[in-house]
Amino acid sequence: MSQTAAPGAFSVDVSIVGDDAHVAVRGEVDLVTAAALGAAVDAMIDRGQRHLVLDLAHLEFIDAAGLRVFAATLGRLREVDGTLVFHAPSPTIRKTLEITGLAEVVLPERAEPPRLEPPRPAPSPRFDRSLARAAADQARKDVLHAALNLVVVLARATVAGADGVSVSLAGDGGLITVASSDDTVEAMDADQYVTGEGPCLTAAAEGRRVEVDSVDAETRWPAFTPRARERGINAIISNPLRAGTRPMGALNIYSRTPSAFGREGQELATLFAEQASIVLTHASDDLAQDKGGRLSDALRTREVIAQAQGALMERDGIAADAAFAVLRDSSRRTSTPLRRLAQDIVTSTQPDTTFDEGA
Amino acid sequence: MTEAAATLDQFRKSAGLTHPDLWLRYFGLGGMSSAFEVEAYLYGALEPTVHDRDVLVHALNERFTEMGRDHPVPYSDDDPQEAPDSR
Repeated sequence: MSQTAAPGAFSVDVSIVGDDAHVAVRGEVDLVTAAALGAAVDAMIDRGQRHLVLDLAHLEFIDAAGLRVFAATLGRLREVDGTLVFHAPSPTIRKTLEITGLAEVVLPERAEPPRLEPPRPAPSPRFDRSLARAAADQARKDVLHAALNLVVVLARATVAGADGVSVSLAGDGGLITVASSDDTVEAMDADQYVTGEGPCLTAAAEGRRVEVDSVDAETRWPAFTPRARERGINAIISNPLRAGTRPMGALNIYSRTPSAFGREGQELATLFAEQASIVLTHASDDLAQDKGGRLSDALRTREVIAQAQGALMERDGIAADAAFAVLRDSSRRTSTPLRRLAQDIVTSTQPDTTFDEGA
Repeated sequence: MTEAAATLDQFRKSAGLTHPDLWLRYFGLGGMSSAFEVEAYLYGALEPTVHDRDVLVHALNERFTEMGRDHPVPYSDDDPQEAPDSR
């Protein structure tokens, strides 16, 4: 079994251990070798194996063709209620799996079969450090930074009652503010980093939305609250940000007015946090390089569309998906690109725009 | 198995879009899935939500509109009888 193959040479070994089919993949999986991997895996599923362990300890490289084999395998196993486990991917391969979202699906807590070792290192409890660092690095890059700033500007313009907005991301030494609408918000964030408490920190650490309806009535953060009051801030919403499903930081919205955010404000805040999370999830190298600025354009249009959706949600009392359906329907009827309709809605100063009634 | 996905991928091909092209358009329309997931939808390995699929369909239809064709890909709320390209 211990063949002395050249580095990078592809091989696949299959063995059955209890209920599991172990598929050990070596070398490089690319357009050429992916077919062989697919055939080996398919053969296992065809003969009734439902639980596959892909041993990736000696996998050196995988391209999109190989990832498609993984996705197809996952699809087939799901149909038969089977399971797929990635065992011991290298950090690089693991990152690839994480960026594609496959890792979220396939790296659940599942007891490893005893034969396989060593165990994967336990993930750090609060933040995945490598991802956090990667995101902090990315934050310095133009596209991501611009995108997060755009989220900040639009959230401030769209969420009723918002006086300031910021984005905090996990860096090496804790959270840092990477985008903010003004100095007061930046100081509000810093107050929380310094005192080690506050809605932003709780949202980031626990991955849930934290609301402060009235700072005066607030008792959860005795060190932070007086500072907020001093700065004239009375209501706060902090929404968790994620890359994939990993907590990465928080989108913070501050208001001088107590109880400033109604249910609509909260929903919009969540929408913007999702937008920011998507940006973070896609912050991989090739996207950050953004050849030809196409990604920046796409980011701009999606923000405009999100803002138009928000306007429709507020105007018609409908959900985000329904708002999109209104837009696409109108786009089809008028053969107008959806982004242009969205732009019209956003720039329209008339509160009673009747664009979606049969023209 | 996944005829709907196979059809979407055929539409993608006749629209002359690569997978990354289509994803970028989908993303520009506010789509929430990664490029990889979208490829998996087209490939039939993952099932998109109704909304996600409609965003993809609209991305394709805007491309077809640019090519002078009037929204050939049906949405989730279209009457299947009226799908232009059938029979």
